[in-house]
Amino acid sequence: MPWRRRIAQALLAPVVLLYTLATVGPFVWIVVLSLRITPDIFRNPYGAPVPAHWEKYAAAWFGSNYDVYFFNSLLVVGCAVAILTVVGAMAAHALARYRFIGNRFCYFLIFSTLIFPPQLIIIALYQILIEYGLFDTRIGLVLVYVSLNLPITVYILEGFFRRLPSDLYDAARMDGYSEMLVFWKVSFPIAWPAISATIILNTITLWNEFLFAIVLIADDSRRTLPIGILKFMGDQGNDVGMVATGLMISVVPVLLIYAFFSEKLIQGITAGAVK
Amino acid sequence: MATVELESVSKAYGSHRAVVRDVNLRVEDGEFMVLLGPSGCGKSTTLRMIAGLEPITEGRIRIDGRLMNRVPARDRDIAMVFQSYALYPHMTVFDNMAFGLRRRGLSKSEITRKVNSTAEGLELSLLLDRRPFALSGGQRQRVALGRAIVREPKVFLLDEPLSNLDAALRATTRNELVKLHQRIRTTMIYVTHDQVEAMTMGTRICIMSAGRIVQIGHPMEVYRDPANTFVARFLGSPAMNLLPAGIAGDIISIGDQSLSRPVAYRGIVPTDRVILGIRPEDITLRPAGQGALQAQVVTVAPLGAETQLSLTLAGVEPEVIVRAPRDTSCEPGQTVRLDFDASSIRLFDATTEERMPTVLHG
Repeated sequence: MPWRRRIAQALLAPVVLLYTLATVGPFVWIVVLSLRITPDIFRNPYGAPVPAHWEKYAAAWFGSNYDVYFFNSLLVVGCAVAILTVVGAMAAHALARYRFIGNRFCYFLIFSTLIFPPQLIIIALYQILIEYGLFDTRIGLVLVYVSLNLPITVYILEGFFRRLPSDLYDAARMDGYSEMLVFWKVSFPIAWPAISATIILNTITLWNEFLFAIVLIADDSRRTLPIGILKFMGDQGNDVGMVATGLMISVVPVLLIYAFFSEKLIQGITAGAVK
Repeated sequence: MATVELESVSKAYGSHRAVVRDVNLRVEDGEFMVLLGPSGCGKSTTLRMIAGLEPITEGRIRIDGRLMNRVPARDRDIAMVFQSYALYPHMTVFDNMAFGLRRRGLSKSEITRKVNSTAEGLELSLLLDRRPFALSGGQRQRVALGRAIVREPKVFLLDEPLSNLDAALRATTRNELVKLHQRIRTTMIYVTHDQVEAMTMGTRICIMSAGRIVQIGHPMEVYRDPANTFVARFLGSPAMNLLPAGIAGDIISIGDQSLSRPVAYRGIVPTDRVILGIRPEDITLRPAGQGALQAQVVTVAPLGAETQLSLTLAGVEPEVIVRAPRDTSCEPGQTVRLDFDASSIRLFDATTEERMPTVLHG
């Protein structure tokens, strides 16, 4: 009945509005803060950005090493996601499509590492990286990021690969393709929606990763963006305006990726979830 | 030359019972061999072993005399059409057909020529840019066939390729496959559970049951002379009538009635336990006072082209099915007279259910 639906919508609308305000509100506020200088913010925390100080972005980028941090984030996250995508997809494909002794044990072993909170392993990781000469190196951070996100990548993709019809692989073998080529020419392209989803998920989580970056990177020239923001936080107080500007610089790439690939993300997650 | 030989081939999964047991089969060059049997009889597993998609547990497989046991599927020069078609969903029809050719070092122009030529023969020329999701079932089936044909393999393997089509399309495609075989004359091994496909398409049919080959022969040969009661029941629709009978002297007794023992079975030792097999079309209704046997009509089913009667003989289970001319007029409960065509009677051992030897065929 239409009137019941109208009542339901009328009751739901304020709830949705409140939720939207609660989630989007802080982000909008940070956008506003990024265009205001700190003294103005302290005078009026919720004021409008008039005038808008766009020069703060240039100051952060050129004057506070943000270009270096951005490049480091790009390099570290880019390499980690590339390795995660290739290795994770190959591992998931092997676990899903091949019968071998220890298949399920391997899968359980990889998947079980998800239960360990990062705080539990960070000290051991710190020690290991020092012993192998990888502490305070970008390659060390890349390897840590790969090991952190590989389980979830394998988990999502394994479910997707398992659902692909085995006839497809048989057909490719009959067409003369080796197992490796079957993976690259058949499995990988077909799984692209799920693989895109893992690329997006990994990029977003690793781009914003703070704990391991701050522990395992010491030199300023190798810092990533989330750590770079710490520059504006000191013992005598925080440069709130620049913190907000720094946050915006770090969040824009993530927003762009999500805006362009969000549909693939939904497709990929649901494709991998249903077994 | 493209002969396919299976010598004592068996397949078992782990310690479980073998799903294919001691299969011996030779498919001649250019032959259309149909592997026929119920679901789970091992016919698809046998096909997959020939393809190299399943390792064999015991035995040898040869193609053109060359041992294939350890040769991977990609090196056997075999093309396969799958029940699900197995078209690559991310590729166009053209790319699906060209996929196998690209591994063989052919030039782009040569690949294009071959694909276009094959597509034209299968009426796919206008569909080359489409992806599988945009095709109908019949179109996908043709693409799957085209993908196999374009490779010009030594052997075609087809695993129930028509089972996903509707009845009308299945009949049309069946004829197309027969014409295709007549045109390209390549060895084909076709798996099906549909006896109509087997009878109409095969040069020879190989009937399998419980992992074993039960009988191999030309379709009409197997139809007329089934090796055992399984083949007798499996082939033919309606199936062969199988009636408990006994042999004494020159008489075969069926329940309370009897008829003359056929000449072909004169050499059999008298016994009170045999199974008499007679096809529904080999039973003739006679006017009153004629005919060797008397029966009572149970049901009458006019099918248009013929009338199917279900009859009971006194003291005999099961019912006898008769294919009578379409203008036959009978009522349930009516008593009728019948004759069995003596040359079409087949006797089976009641214990082993194997066909008993005749003096003519052995």
